[in-house]
Amino acid sequence: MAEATLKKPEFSTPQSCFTKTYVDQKFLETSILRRYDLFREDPEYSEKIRLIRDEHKEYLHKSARGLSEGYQELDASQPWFCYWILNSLDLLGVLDDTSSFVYKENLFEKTIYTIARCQGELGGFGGGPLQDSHLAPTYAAVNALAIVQKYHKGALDIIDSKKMFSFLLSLKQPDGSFAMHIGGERDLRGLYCALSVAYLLNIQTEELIKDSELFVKSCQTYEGGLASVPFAEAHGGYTFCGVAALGLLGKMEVIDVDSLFQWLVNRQMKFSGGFQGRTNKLVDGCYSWWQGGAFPLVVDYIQKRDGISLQNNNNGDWAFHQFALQQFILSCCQQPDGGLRDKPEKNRDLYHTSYCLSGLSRSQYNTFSKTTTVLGIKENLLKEIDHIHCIPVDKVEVAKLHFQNSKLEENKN
Amino acid sequence: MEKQEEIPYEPLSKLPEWKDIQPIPQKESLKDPCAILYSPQFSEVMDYFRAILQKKEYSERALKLTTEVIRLNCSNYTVWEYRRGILEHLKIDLNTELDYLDKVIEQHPKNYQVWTHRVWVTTKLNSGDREKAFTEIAFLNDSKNYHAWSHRFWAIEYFNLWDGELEFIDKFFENDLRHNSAWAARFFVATQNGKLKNDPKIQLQEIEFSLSKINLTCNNESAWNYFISFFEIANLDQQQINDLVSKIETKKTRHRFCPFPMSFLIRVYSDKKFGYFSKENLEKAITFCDALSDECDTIRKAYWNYKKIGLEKILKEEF
Repeated sequence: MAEATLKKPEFSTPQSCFTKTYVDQKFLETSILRRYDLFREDPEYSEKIRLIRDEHKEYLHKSARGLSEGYQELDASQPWFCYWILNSLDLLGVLDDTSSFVYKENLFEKTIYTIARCQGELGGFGGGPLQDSHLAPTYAAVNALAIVQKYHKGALDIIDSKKMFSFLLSLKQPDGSFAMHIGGERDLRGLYCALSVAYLLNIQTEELIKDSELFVKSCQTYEGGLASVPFAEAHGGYTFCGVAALGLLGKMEVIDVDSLFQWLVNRQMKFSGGFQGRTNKLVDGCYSWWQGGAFPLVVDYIQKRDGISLQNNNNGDWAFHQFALQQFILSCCQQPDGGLRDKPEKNRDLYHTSYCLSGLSRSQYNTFSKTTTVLGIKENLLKEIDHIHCIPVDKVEVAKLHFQNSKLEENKN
Repeated sequence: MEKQEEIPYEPLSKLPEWKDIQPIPQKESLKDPCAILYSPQFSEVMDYFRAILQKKEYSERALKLTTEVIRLNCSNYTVWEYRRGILEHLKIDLNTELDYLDKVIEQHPKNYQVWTHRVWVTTKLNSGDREKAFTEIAFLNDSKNYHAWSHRFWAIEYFNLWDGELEFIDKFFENDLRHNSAWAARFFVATQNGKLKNDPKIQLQEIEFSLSKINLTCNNESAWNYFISFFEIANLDQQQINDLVSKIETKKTRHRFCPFPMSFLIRVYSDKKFGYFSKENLEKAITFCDALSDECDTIRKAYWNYKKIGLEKILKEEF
């Protein structure tokens, strides 16, 4: 055949295809590839891959002792530190080890002391002493206390449930959403934080939860995922908030669960195995929780609705690739000297440590089939995370039991 | 985390202006788990702020102090709320506040509090004149800034600023047709602008628009999600449906490993409303599920297996 007749390969208008989104993604893939090459070079690597527990424990210990000046910017998030550290330590099994620093340094007592000082006069918790109450630190404070309760009875007693109820109710909006604080923004975070706290404390009255599912529904986008507010972009963080809220309300059916499901599975990245927060964005370890954590409720709903089981594949219960996610977390998100991070080349922080570990736990436990899916050495198995409150399951049980009998008085004041 | 910039700092305790105030420290904070090692300046400013807050003092010096607190930590929602009280009480010209806010947001574009404050200020001013231009500046820094987009949507709806928006969004596609925030913005405009809402012509136009982007590159989930939702929303007649489906069928052949055409066709073949529901097409859809699960989209194996089970069930029941 004459050479002249050979057709050059056709690229479809490169300037359209090699866009910023595309180039950023390829750069990141190259850096991840270097890590994944280890798997190829050493066939046994995937069996040896290890969660560096001691290093993480050390990082958390150091953080519990004090945070650098740079954390000043998070001065209005003090209960979050307590929650992130305790949740991480608990998932790692450190809180159950009475010989650990937690006991020597009275971490439980200190946590109660710190959080108690954040409780507002009108109920709820603020980001620090004398700060206004706000739903985000309220959620974090209640979660932290729920974790402590098992080890230090009385932790949950510091919560004034009656005032908490009126605080939550004061933020309730006519459309079913919640403002984050007086004068604050309204979005799906507020709704989730309010309901998570209300259901743990057993104060979820009809009045408090009225129309909340309608607000969640209004936040579902044409892509299937949920946005912060109606018509914004579908986003992993808000999707978890909305799904967990519907799980609490038992009203998953109000949204289009099929399109949500398709959007969710598509957020797992083909290449890295981790999750992205939005379509065509980069992977981030924290979405291991926000996206991965939304699966149990969605899968549970679909299984019951369709009368089928999604378990009949050897990769676990959740319809995402659980091994691939674990590979991403363990090989890309662990900082060698402890703590977890967004992605390689980023620095560790408490937020990513807590949510990477929560996502790792989620992908290890198959709640329905009561089995585990663990990549690497068997000691990588964490404690099991609750699919709604994002604290270990045993802590949710303790908290619910604690508030089971406490009934809110029918006092409208 | 980076340290605050070192700025020469004159302790408030040395200023006569603050003599009458007894600062309130955040007591015994070293006892706390994860106590922050505050700089002396941060501690002092916060101590005075707590004192002013307790007194509920709405004054010029209090306003100045809130600026200082915000400079050190603009996530402090308490200070913003308090500042709003002062602005109202002193009847401050909110245009100046907006100038100030421009600068704060440029430094902290991904902070919830600054945008919340901006909604408050512009609502009070009852003017959204600056909002479009301002969010554009925020996009220069990060064109996918979630807060900036949400704010822009809010302003467009609240102040009725729909004009020219579609053209503005188009610019993002010129550079990056995978820009999902721009796709979401386009959907917002195409479905919520009173003038365009439910207009069949617009719906067809959006189908054509997304299809033209898919033609440039098939492997772009943003464009597919957009295309599919308008395909479902629009009231297409059978001829229009057939034209589109046959175009996608061609794409499926041409881009054998791209999961999106197959994913779309599975949907069309298995739903009676599109006119493609037949034994043959269901069987074809099942082979697509296999191809996706085993070859083209293996990370989603579990999902495609689930889809396949559903299709097999329909096949058994209907044929």
